[in-house]
Amino acid sequence: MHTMRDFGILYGDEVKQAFKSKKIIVLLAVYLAVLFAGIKLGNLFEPFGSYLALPELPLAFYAVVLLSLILLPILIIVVSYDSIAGELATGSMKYLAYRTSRQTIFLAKYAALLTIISVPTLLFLVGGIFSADPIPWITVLSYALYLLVYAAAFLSLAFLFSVLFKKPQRTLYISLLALIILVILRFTSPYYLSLFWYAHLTPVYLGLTLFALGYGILGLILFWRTDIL
Amino acid sequence: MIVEARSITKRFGKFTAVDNLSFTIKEGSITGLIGPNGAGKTTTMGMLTGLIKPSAGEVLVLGKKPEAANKDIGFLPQDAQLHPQRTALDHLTLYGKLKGYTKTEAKEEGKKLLQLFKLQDRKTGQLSHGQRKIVGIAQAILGTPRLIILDEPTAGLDPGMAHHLKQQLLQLRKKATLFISSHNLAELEQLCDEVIIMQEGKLIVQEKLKTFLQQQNSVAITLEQAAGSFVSILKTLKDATVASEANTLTITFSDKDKTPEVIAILVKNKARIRSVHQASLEDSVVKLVHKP
Ligand SMILES: Nc1ncnc2c1ncn2[C@@H]1O[C@H](COP(=O)(O)OP(=O)(O)O)[C@@H](O)[C@H]1O
Ligand SMILES: [Mg+2]
Repeated sequence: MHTMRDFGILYGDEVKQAFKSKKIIVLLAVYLAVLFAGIKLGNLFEPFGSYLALPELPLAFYAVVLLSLILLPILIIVVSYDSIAGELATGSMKYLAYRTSRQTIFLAKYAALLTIISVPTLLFLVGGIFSADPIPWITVLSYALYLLVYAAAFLSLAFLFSVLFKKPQRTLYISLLALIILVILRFTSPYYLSLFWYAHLTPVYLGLTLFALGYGILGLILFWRTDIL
Repeated sequence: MIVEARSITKRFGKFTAVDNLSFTIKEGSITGLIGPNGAGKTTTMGMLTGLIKPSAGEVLVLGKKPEAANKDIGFLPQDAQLHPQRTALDHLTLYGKLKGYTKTEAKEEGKKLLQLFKLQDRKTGQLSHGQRKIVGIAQAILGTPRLIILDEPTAGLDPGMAHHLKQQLLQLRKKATLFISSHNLAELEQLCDEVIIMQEGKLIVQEKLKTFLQQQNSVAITLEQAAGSFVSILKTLKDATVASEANTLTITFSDKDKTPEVIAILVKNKARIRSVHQASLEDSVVKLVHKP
């Protein structure tokens, strides 16, 4: 089938274009700077770590995880809102969509953005294995997986909105609004109302994976049925 | 048949843009798609390329769903921007790779096309409207797909480029089937061997161009003087309707061709005849779909 080959071509192209995009470069740079600052602060507070009742992991490591949990949703929305909606609005999607399947386009864009967004965090986490105060690789792996599925869940939601609203500006505003509502619900509602209810599922991965797959598949089906006008 | 459209309908909400349309395209032909603005040409082409899903009916390209035949289709969409930050060659290289070329081959093919159309390899955001159109045409004919669909390819091109493109399309007919929509009917008349005419979403004609023109049973007579005053003189003819525009009289016979009789009457009335020819595609289409 052409599918795998086309996927590879589009994936490579999307990653390359992302690194040519000023917006994405600036956002990634800011994100990296914040993670760095988090590590420094974590190290600074390390002497008081025992008061925080955390397992025996350096605070710097927690800082990376915590900051990623906070920043990734925003980063994902701002990086991905025009990935599909932008091409639908300008019509450039037509040139791709008559050449290859909708699934291939959707998945290649998805995979490329997931790569770009999650690689910095993953690098930092893996760095923990080799730090002065080494972290067991199994711990690193479980946190890395967790953050990857976490990012995938938000990316799926962003793609769903992108296909649903078709115009980049509208997608951006609605995604940000949805994020604010999610955060408010997280802290105010009974868990079953909050779209963060995955936090109450055990294991937590399962809930997140369901979210990532659910939103993702819904977005894909919608995209597959969309008229590209 | 390289394309078979079977009773395709497309509705946008309550509005029916394409209405129960059936037609076929012969492999190796150049088929023109004609119709006034809003007739449904662009929507029809969208359904042929899998970009638009029919509300009813089905399209077969090479016996398959358009999505399954996508490697055999080249398409110039009507209004579709290119990525402004990418150069003409970037576009052609990417699309060439999706066509099955290696990166090196795709670049080579892209460069050939740039040369063929005398295009500079600049960011498409910095090209003129016409130059961007050429990039769009280049990606459609890249790798000579078996079916090439062009939605108003010459709209916005300068006459020199439009002429050059016509030559290229005639070259392509040996290897590909072309389906072209255009409002430039003089150009289509030179290119096409088949015509499909649509109006308000419906098919009104599918015919060999030659047959269609003969069926019109019309003659256009161009004079050296204004033609208007001869309309009433020719009213005496039976089974014929006469119209005039500037120096040209268009006479349509509802029965037998009576051109010699018409010429005799005109000469007797001191008309100075410059040319007599079969009514053009433009004359015929105007009469058929744009009549008041
Ligand atoms: N997305 C859409 N929503 C509603 N109506 C549409 C849409 N696209 C096209 N139409 C309508 O469908 C008709 C056919 O349009 P189109 O296929 O572009 O015609 P043509 O290409 O022959 O000029 C027009 O009346 C147009 O207004
Ligand atoms: Mg059109």
